[in-house]
Amino acid sequence: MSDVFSQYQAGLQRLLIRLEQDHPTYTEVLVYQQRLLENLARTRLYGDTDAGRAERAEILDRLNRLALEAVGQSFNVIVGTALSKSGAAAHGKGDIDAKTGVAEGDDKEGGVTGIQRVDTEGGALIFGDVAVSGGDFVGGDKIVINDDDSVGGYRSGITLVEHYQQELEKARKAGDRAAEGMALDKLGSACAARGDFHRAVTHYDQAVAAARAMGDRQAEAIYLQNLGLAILRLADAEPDQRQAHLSRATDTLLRAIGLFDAAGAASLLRARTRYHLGRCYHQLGQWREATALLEQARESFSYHKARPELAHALLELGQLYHQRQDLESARIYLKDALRLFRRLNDADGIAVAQEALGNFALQTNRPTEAIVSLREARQGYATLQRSERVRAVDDLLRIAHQARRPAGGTTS
Amino acid sequence: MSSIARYRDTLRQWGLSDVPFRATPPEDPVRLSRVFYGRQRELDLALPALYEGRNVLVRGLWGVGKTAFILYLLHRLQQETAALDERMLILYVGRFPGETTEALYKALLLPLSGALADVEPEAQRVWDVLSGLQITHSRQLQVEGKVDLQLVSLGGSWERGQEKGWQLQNVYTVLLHLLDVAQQQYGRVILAVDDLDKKDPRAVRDLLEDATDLLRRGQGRRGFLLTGRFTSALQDVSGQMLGLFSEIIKLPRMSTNDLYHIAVNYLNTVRKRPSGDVTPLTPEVVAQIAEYAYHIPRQFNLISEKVMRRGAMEGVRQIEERAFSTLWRMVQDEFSLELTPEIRQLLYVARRSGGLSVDIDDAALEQLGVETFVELLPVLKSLEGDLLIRQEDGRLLPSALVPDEEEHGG
Repeated sequence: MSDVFSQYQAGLQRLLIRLEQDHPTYTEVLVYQQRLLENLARTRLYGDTDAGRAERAEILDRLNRLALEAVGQSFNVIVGTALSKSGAAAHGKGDIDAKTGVAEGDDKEGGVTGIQRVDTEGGALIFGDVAVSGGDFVGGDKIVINDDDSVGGYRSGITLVEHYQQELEKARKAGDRAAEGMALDKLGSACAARGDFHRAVTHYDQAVAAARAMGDRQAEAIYLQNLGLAILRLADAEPDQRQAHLSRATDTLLRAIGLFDAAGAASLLRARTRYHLGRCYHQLGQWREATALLEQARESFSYHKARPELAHALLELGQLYHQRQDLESARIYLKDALRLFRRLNDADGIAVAQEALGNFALQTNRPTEAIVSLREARQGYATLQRSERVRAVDDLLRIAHQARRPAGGTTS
Repeated sequence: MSSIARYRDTLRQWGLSDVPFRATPPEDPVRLSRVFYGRQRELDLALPALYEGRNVLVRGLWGVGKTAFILYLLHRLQQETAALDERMLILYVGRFPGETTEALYKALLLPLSGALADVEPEAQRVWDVLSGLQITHSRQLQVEGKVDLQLVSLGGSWERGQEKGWQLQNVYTVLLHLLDVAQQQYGRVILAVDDLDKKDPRAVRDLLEDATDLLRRGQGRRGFLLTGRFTSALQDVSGQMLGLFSEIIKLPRMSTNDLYHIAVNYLNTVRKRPSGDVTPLTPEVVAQIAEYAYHIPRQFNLISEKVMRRGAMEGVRQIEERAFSTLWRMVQDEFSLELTPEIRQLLYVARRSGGLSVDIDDAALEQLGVETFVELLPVLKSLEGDLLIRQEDGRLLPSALVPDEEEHGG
């Protein structure tokens, strides 16, 4: 699987370089790139399914058409060319083991704690994102990380950060501002993937400045989106500065949306930014803004049949409606999120959705229903070795059992 | 004999001048009071609360009779307050455009400014401005001694006409001022806003949150009467958490006996001499219709109207069980012809799935061409009422008017 993965990754990079960022289909290719890599990530972690194969075939078909129209060669041909140039196909170390998804470090808890650690949290999206937790996903470039923290599909033996630092130096020497911006963006993603969000923010900031200097609004928007996400993660990592980080992430993502809209970027790309901005507003307690943005994103994800994104948007909305005491909507959205996560075989998503449903059932005085949901959530977290979540669910389960117990009686 | 002649002839044989049943209740409170029946417990709760200027929320399933209840309640409030020789201004806003607090405030301002135009120059100015917004409205004013009851329903859009300079600044401040004037004039003001349940529930939630200040002010001299769906247990929690209402009155479905009396009342409105029976229907047929209608008055009236019209067209002397069975099949077939294939498919899936709810299985969703239940919500909202009947557990079942295509062999 990893060979195929490396080939596609290299082919996509090659296609994007040939298109250049101002090409009308550049954004669309980025969107398909993300969908393809997410599909492969799921396959890598949980095995292939009919649905996964069908989705992959659809994406490749679309990429073939786009590439043929844009550069006169099908994507399959480009993949072959990339393969022969890089010689990556037969590179054994490029294999990505489906076992853990953890690059290094012994803590498999949620949240990023180790500088060398990349946590998939049970197989959410690891590419080009920062320690993916629940709803993080981006529309920008993707990074493949091997077990030894080397770069997948590329030569082994150097770290991801080292690789992109080299790319950056090359771009600067050549005076290629566009390549410099891309390298800075990737460097930012690499740092974020290692949990170093401050450095990630610095690199993304520089990438944004480079794109702005070039007048490349599309690239600036993409880098801003990545910057916004990194700051959003900083808000989680540094609770004492949470409000400040959330405000800055909000401003950054608002700028990204403005640029995407002005550039007429692909609707899916815009939807992703709206989704992240909606999350910011949700965390800031600005519920109406959050609702409007997340609903817009949901409709777009639904229209494009972007299932992973749709599942996360439904989950976020379900939790938001729950907080707003719109309990009927909360139940509908959480159940739909669970439905989609099951279809995607997304173990992490299933566990999170079941925990949310259990919590919801508990608060609406339905302890038996809560216990069923929480048990499944617990099982999922245990399989994913997320002991912190297991403990949290155990607490909820205790409450649910107490709530079910008749006054003065005992739990059966 | 022509169709119309036969129709008229049958009605004459039935001793009726018309088929009296209508899906929506008469807006004229006097006419409404002739057909209204039951709800005594709910009236006993709501009347004193409103009289004391407290907020009341009336909730219930679509078609269960909230509008009829509110109109009758206001009519009773008007009569009983007038009998005490006390003053009161009662305003009723039915349909109104928009889903924002400003839209609500403007909707309230229209009848309020109309009621005060003669005594307050500011009210006259507001009335002139709002009248210029091309808002269409129907208005009824009833004066019962010292108690005015104004009923309005509004159409159009608040935005239209603004380009001509028809604008109202500080709507909320103006509303508060005129409410104060109204209280000085009348002592007590009751503001009823119907049809909130027909708007987007999330928008209504935002609207109520924004209007919290208004709803909390003036308690004791100013009461609000609002409607909401708030049908399921989940919605109860959130509705009550608003803490804005002294009484939250749930209107249950109506019993067969209540619906029988409503049928008698309706029939008496078109009879030369009132009677206590349901001729040309029979008590058994009324019970059957009540069951088909899920005991929801709107469905009951709708089915009764269609069956009686078809019976009159066919020249049926009495609609007893056997005749009803034939007529019912005909009505269902006619009803089915009005449905698009997509809606028919949705209703078919709803029936086969035991109702549509978020617990629907993936195969049923696939049959409907969607991946999530959320995607269905807009279409379900548009069909709820006449075609889909909400149950207390949240499921939406197809109206009995929609034939079971397998049973019909279609």
